[in-house]
Amino acid sequence: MAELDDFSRYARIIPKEHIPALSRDLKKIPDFSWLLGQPHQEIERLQGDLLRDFPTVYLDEKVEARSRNFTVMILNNTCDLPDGRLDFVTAAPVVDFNKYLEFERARRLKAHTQLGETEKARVEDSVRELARVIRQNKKTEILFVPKFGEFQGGALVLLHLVCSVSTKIYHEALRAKQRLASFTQTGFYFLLIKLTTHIARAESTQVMRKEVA
Amino acid sequence: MKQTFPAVIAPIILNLAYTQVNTFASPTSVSVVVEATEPQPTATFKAAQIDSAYLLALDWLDLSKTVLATAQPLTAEERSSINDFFWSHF
Repeated sequence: MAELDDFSRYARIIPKEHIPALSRDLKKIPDFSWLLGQPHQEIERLQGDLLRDFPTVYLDEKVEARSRNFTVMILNNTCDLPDGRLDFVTAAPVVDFNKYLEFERARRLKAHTQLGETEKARVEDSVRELARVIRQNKKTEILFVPKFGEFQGGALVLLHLVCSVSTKIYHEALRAKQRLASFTQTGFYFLLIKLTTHIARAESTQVMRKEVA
Repeated sequence: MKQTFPAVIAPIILNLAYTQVNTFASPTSVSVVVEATEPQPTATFKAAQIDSAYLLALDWLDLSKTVLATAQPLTAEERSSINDFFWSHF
């Protein structure tokens, strides 16, 4: 990643003292082992914190609410998490990377009945390629994070499936010590990079908006 | 009748008022008191803050595009796959 040898142009957003570590870690990609650490000891509420067994809810195509507990990532900015700032937190569900690959492999194999060895090998190759792309964080909606908690092969944060949950539940989860991991300093910068890519990347020039209201 | 301005409007008025206490009489005879206890930023300072925030946002866009230069949204097939896996948890 030669473009990142010179970080001077990002001095407004990355403190000078963090630049060497960020440059070093970004060059490790596709190794993302540097993203997460233990839950922060001194600061109880941080953007990106991962909490286990957290309730979520989604509306399906019949407008029926479906609720289930997931490990989640808290998306709110750290500055908004102190008492009295929010009534709801925004949570993104987290799923097991290896289990997803197993699910997808089974699905692809099932789609082709009576596969020969060549076809089976082709399916395996295609799943490996999917795994490679996701593991490199090249899919904008999915944040791949390294192993933590029960996710020994890493996990996927589904950024397109966020939901709002009462802060009362969030505070109860903190009291119950449900935090599993926090982002490291350089990991946090990557989280912002990923969120920017997902939510705030520039529109295609083919999107023609009206110039006046 | 006296009425306090909402928080959103107050800073605009405060920029005009600086540290003074002013009383404005509206055409409908509603009297509004705005009190500022600290010196308020000048219009020039506020404009500089806005420029700075804008540049910071552009820096993040630039850095993100550099680091994840080849990132792409999920294809329709990939989206269907991950969503089916997600729903399989329910």
